[in-house]
Order: sequence, then structure tokens, then C-alpha cells
Amino acid sequence: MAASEPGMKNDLRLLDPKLLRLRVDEFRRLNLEVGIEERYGPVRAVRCLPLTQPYEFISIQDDEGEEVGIIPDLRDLEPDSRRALEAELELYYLKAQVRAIHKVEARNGVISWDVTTDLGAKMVHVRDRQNIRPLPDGRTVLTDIHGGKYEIPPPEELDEKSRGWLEIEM
Amino acid sequence: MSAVGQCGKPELGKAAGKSPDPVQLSDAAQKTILGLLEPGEEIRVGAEADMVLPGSFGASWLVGTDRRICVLPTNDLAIQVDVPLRNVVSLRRRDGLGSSLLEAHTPEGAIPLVRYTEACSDRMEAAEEALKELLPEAPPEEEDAWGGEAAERERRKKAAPCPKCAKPMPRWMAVCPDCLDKRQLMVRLLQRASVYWKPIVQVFLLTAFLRFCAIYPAKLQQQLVDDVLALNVRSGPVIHLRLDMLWKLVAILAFVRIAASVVQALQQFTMTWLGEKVTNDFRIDIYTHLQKLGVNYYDQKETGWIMDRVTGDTATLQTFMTDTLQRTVLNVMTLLVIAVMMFSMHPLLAFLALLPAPIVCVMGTRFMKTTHKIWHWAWRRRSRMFALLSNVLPGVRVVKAFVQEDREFDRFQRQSEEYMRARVDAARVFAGFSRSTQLVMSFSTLTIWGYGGYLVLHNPTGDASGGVTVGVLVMFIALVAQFYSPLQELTNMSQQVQQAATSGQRVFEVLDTMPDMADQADAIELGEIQGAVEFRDVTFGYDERRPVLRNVSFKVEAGEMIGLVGPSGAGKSTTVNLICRFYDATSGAVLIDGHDVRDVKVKSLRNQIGIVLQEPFLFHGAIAENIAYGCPDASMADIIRAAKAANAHDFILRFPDGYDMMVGERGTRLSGGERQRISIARAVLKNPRILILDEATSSVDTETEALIRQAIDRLVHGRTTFAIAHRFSTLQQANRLLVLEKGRLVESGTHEELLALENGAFRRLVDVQKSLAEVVAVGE
Repeated sequence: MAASEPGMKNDLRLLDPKLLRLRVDEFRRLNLEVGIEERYGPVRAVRCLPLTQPYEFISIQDDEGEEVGIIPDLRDLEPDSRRALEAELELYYLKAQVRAIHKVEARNGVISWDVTTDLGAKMVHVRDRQNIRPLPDGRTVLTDIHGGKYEIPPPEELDEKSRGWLEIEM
Repeated sequence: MSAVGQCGKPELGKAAGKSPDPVQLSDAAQKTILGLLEPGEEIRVGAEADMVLPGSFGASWLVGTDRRICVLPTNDLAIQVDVPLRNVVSLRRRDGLGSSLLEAHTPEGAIPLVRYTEACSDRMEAAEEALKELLPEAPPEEEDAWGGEAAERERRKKAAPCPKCAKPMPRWMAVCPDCLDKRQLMVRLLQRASVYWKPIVQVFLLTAFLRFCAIYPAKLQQQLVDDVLALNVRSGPVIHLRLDMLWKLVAILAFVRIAASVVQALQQFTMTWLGEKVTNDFRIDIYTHLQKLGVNYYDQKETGWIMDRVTGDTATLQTFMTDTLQRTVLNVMTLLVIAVMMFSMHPLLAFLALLPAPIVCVMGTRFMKTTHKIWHWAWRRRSRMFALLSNVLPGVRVVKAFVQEDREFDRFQRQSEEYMRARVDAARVFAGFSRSTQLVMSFSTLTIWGYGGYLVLHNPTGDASGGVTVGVLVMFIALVAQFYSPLQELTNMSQQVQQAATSGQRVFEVLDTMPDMADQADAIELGEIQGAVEFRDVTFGYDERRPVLRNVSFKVEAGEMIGLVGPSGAGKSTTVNLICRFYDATSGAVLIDGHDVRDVKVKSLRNQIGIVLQEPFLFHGAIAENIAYGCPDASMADIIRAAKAANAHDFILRFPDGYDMMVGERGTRLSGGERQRISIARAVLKNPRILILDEATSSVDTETEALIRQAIDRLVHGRTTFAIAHRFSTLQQANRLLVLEKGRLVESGTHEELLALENGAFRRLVDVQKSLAEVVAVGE
């Protein structure tokens, strides 16, 4: 494993996607190769901006928690590396995509959203309105009382009834 | 056997100290599972998860038997995962954000067993522990490759006398608040309203039409009574003719009502639109002006007071400008029209009917004077209540820490009750006035019934030619009601006019306040500076009679790091406040690269100064937005670069939302050290030529201080830096120290030079600090 260069810890290292190779080993751990000289494994991938820019600025950290570098955009990775990284991120960041909102009810400070997501039907309990976060691109992210994330697409992508519920709550 | 909890619903705590049953499945579930197992196989562990592999919502059973670990989705009741116990080397849980994955590690690799959300993590973790007991060998403790679950931490002014009343007048005020001319005030309000003349005229015309619709039916009623219903001849053609007239008059009345409804809807909408527009413009004007005002102004005014100007008073002015003003004009017009109609029909009856009107007017004028003081008193109470709230709510932690909830409750209760009393007083005066005017006005109706009835009975012909008819009497009664209604409204309106006058006075008090740090007409744009700073015989005091700095002079070369040292109140923070031009020197001059700061544009100066305060202020928003506050167009890469330089990147990434994390109001979801590093990142990104560090490390622990100092070392490189610190050890890398005492610069030199001065001010301060450190060490 290549050690990070002394004195460089606090400099931003943007990793060139063309030089990266990410693979999952037989223990489902992510490994990283930068060019032909640097090998890191296992590594963890952390999104710098998991809500607003989930595909950009992915921090890759070694097993000591030291940052190896940041991938500016995972979409620039070669397909196998991208798949490996996306699988790792998907596992770490569970985020269901809301397809429809059936009902929203507030009771005793908990707002309950009866939704259908891409992962199935779910009753999402949100503690207060700070956990209903509109994003600049029109999406809305709900964080439930257990820390789970549910992404609601922009209103124009929802059916009329869902849009109605969202508008009332927002 | 315990009942299975419903996943996805908030679970209310478990019984403490109670060991959970390893098989947390219902009897029915166990029976179903046993049907799928081999004969004689026993269920040792069982729990229901709320996800189905690879990662969708749905129930699945995790089962450990005496032979294997298996997982069954409840919807198809087939074994999805089946791992013999003898193959399992260890179990490993991978905690993500919102879900966890339990894996069985075998010599061939990892096999995903079950995935579940946080909602059922308690019972799944209990099941995991129970499963480990089934394994042939105790599994080695393994570090989580994800580094464990990332837990989100919840966490004066000199006064010039007014030339008119000689009372002290704040110098930033253009007019004395006590001598503000009310008529002038109304003229100013009308001038503001004139901007919206088009919709105002529109609403005025619509309302005038509505008033016509209210008065005109009285005339129609008179015709109905006299020309249609008062029937002396009952012949067929006459009845036919009268019926025609009756349908015609009823049709006209119906049309008037319908037209009135349509116009009223249009009028209401236009008035609401106009009202919202006026309020919005007022709010924006006040807020824009507030942004121009210097720090001075905010030193004097409480936040709640200012907020009340922006919200409460603008709403009152909205009512005045869109409603009161128009209704006043229309009511006056209505009164004139009705008076003309009544006098033209019967002057004596009209005179008697309107006799109480002057009495009502006199009463109204007196009432206005009485209520003026009460309303002022009520407003002051409301402002004080707002000020109390805005003072206490942000400091709620201090209140709780010092267990002062009861005291704060009492204070608020007092303020709230005083406000309530003021409003009740106003309501009492108003109720008295309103009822007495009502009584006076009712005499008018009685007069018409009495004298009017007498005239009708003495009408020899019974029709208009003989004098007063029944129709005329009915019309008079209707008109009197229409007359006194606007008159009463006019007198009641005095209350709204008073409120508007008071609000207008307070709003103009803000708008008339002159920005004391405004750019001079010939102020120059300061280009990129080197960072040389000079104080030339500077004297300054927040209160001119008590100077905080006295004849301070020093020169700092560009790129130097200066430590400002001295006891509390010596003038250290004031010195940096003058460099930022938050205040102007009373005498002497502050020069940046040879330019007097008063001769340059404030924005061009402050753009090149970065400040890191003892108590950094973060705005409610994402971490990335807070770092980019001074440079909203900065790229994300630059933001991350600044965060890394400030030793903030690592802790930011430990938050589930990373740079997207909302910091809470004033950054309350971050610790003091974290807030400080965000504020350093903000300063790094701004890349200022002059850097001010005001006790930047005083409120954090030693470890955090080391991280912050490391960040500051990177930040000060190549910039002129002024650092204030009570811990002198943190100033060792300063090129020079300036020692202030009671507002005077008493020593200047390097750390070593000043320490070498016997009985020097700095030496004394260091000795005191050392002895204190020894006392603490002995105490420990």
C-alpha cells in the first residue's frame, strides 16, 4: 500500500478517473489501484455531497481512514470501476426513490408519509420539518426518525395526487 | 416468546436489563419455517428483518438452527440464503447510513445474509449475537471496514440635543422621534402610496360603485312603497301597470345586488394584491436600509425591536395604505351624497336626523387623543416582548445550564401580561366610545320615526304633493343607517389612523437613520492591497467621553503577524474594529497601504479582510454554503481545498450528509471547535490580504486548539495578521507584539524582547499567567 506523501495530507488530491481501477474482492471489499504504482485495499468510498451531487466528489479513504484522494465524477470512471464504486455506495447510502405519495399525516410532531418507493411500499416517519429538505434542483429528501433517506423527485415528475401532497407539505 | 415489533414504526424503548429471547418470531412464523426445514431440525435463533436481499423493502426471516443459518423472504416462503454452520468462519455486520448488512464469512468469501433498516436494528443485532453463539468457534473481533457507524452529533452613543425640544437625539437620526410632525408623517405615507396610484384608483372606483349599490336601493324602496304598493284604485289596468313596475323594480334591485357581489370580489382581490405589494416593498426597503447601517446601529437596538419594524409595523401600514386611506375618502364622499339626498327631500327632517353627527365627531376627536397614548404604550410593550424573546431563545442552553427557566418564564409572563393590559385598556376605552356614539346615533333614528311619522299622519293627500309620504319615511330610515355607518367607521378609523401613525413613525425612524459608515462622495475603490496598516495618533470611544483607545500610533508592514496583547478592556478588539472600519476614529487616522480608510469604499476594504472570531457565526444552511459565504461562486473543489486547509474536511465527511449537512441555526449542530474550523475555511476561501484572529482558539479544548492552530499557521502565511489571544504561547510565531493597557500602546517588540523588559507590562502579564498555571497544576 502506498503511503500518502508527507506534508500532503491537507492538500486536495483530485484523482484522475483514467488512472483508477476499482474492484470488489471475494470478501466484497473495495480495492483501488491508482496507475500502476499505488494500490489500496480495502478502501471505503464517502460522498462529499450525498444529497446535492451524489455522483461527484467521492472521497476514497484507506482502512486507516486517511483520504487517498477524491474522484471528481464517478461517471468518468471505466465501466467496471464505476459499477464497483456504485455498488459500494449503494450499500452504504441506502436511499429509496419515492415513486408516489399516498398520504401525509402529522400527529404529535411526527409527520408520516405513506409512500411507494423503488424498493417497495413504506410508511416514512419524519420527526420535524427540518428533516424534509428541498434541494435546489427540485428534489426533496426526507430523513426518517432512523436516519433513512427517501428521495422525492421534482414535483413535475410525480402524479397529480402525489404532487398535491408534496405541495401541501412544502 | 416475544411478539415481533412492527418494522418501520417508531419503537418505544425496551425494558432495561432484560435479556431478549433469541427466537423473536411468532408461533405461526415458526410453524411455517419448521415446515421448510429438515426433520428434527431446531430453531435456535429467529428475527424478522424489514428488507429483502439485495435491497428492497419487505419482511424476511433470519433463522439460525442447530445446523445452518438461513433467510426466508416472507412473501414467497422459500429459503433464499442457506449457509451450513460448519462453513461459517465469522459473522460481520456492515453498517451503512439507513441500513445494515449482515454477512457470513466462509473460507470461499462473504455471503450476504440479511439486510435491514435502523428501525429493527435492536432485534437484528440481538439475533446476530445469538447466531455467533451457534458458530463452531468464537469469531475474531473485526474492525468495520467502513470505520463504524457515522454518528451525527446533535448537538450609546453621544447625543446631540434636538433643536426643537432640546431632548437628547441620537446622532444617527435625521429627525427627533419625539418631534416628528404627524402631518408631515401622513404626507410621507401618502407619498409612498402615490407610487401605487393606478391600483389605488382602481380600488377606489370599485369601492365607490359598491357604495352606490348600497345607497341606491333606498331610493328604489321609496318608489316601491309610494308608487307601487300605496294602491288607492284597485281596477284591473292599474294593478297590471303596478305589477309591471313591481317586477321592474325587483329586477333592478336584483341586478344591483348581483353587480355588487361581482364588483366586491374584484375589489377584495385588488385590495389584497395591493396590500401584499405595499408590505413587500416596505419590508424590502427597510431590510435594504438595515444592511447599509453600521455596526453602531445594531449596538444600540435590540434584534427583536428591529424585527418588529420589518414585520409588525409594515403590516399595520399595509392596512392603512390599502384600506383605511381609501375607506376614509369614500366614507366622506358617502356622507356628502347622503346629506345632499336627505336635504333635497326634506331639509328640516334631514337637519333633525343629522343633528347628532357633530356630537359623534367631537367624541371621535377626543377619543383619538386618549387612545394615542394607550396605543404607544401597547406598542412599546410589544417591542419589549419581542426583544425579550429574541434575546432569550438563542441563549436557551445558558438558561437551562443555569436552571433559570422559571425566572425567564416569569420575565416573559410579566412582559406578556403588560402587553395584554395595554391592549385591554385600549379595548376598554374603545368599547366605551363605541357604545356611547352608538347611543347618540340611535337618537337620530328615533327622531325620524317620531317627527317623520307625525308628518306622514298629517299629510292631507297621502302622496308626494301633500308632504312626507310613507316611502320618504322608509327612505330616510334607510339613509340614516347608511349615513351613520360610515360616520361611525370614520370615528373608529381614528384607531387605525393612530396605529398607522405610530407604525409610520417607527418605520421612518429606521429609514431616516443615516448610515454612519457611508462612503464619501469621492471615496476611491481600493485595488488589491499589500496589507500595510498604520494607526496615526488614533483616539476612539464608543462613548466619546470615555475613549477606549488614546493616541495610539503604530505601523505594520505587509505580511507581518502582529499579536495584540493586553488585559480585558485594553482596546484590542476595538483596534481590529477600526481596521475593518466598523467604526471611525474620533481623531487621528487608520491607514491601509497609505489610504485613510474613510477615503476608500467600505466594500472594497472589507473584501480584503478576513475575520475569525472567538464565537464564529454560522448561518442556517449546508456546510458547503457556509464555507462559500464570502465567495458564493467558489467551485466545490475550492471549497473542499479550503476545508482541508482548515482541518475541517475529515470531520465533515464523518457526517452522513457530508458537505450537504445542515448546520442548524447559528451552527448549533456543530461543536465549538468544528464551527471554528468552518469559519477558518471561510476565511481561507476568501483569501484576504489582512487577517484578523480575535481569540480564535480560546474557547476550545487543547486537542482542537492544536488542529486550529495548525490551520491558522497555514492561513497566516503571506498575509498581514492581527491576532488577539490571551494564551501568549499561541503568539510565539508573531513577528511583533503590541501591548495595550487602558487604551494606550505601552510596549511593542518581539516576544523575547518584551520578556526581557524588567517590570514591563507584557512581562507582568506573562508572570500572572504562569502563576495561574501553577495554581491550576497544584490544584490538579
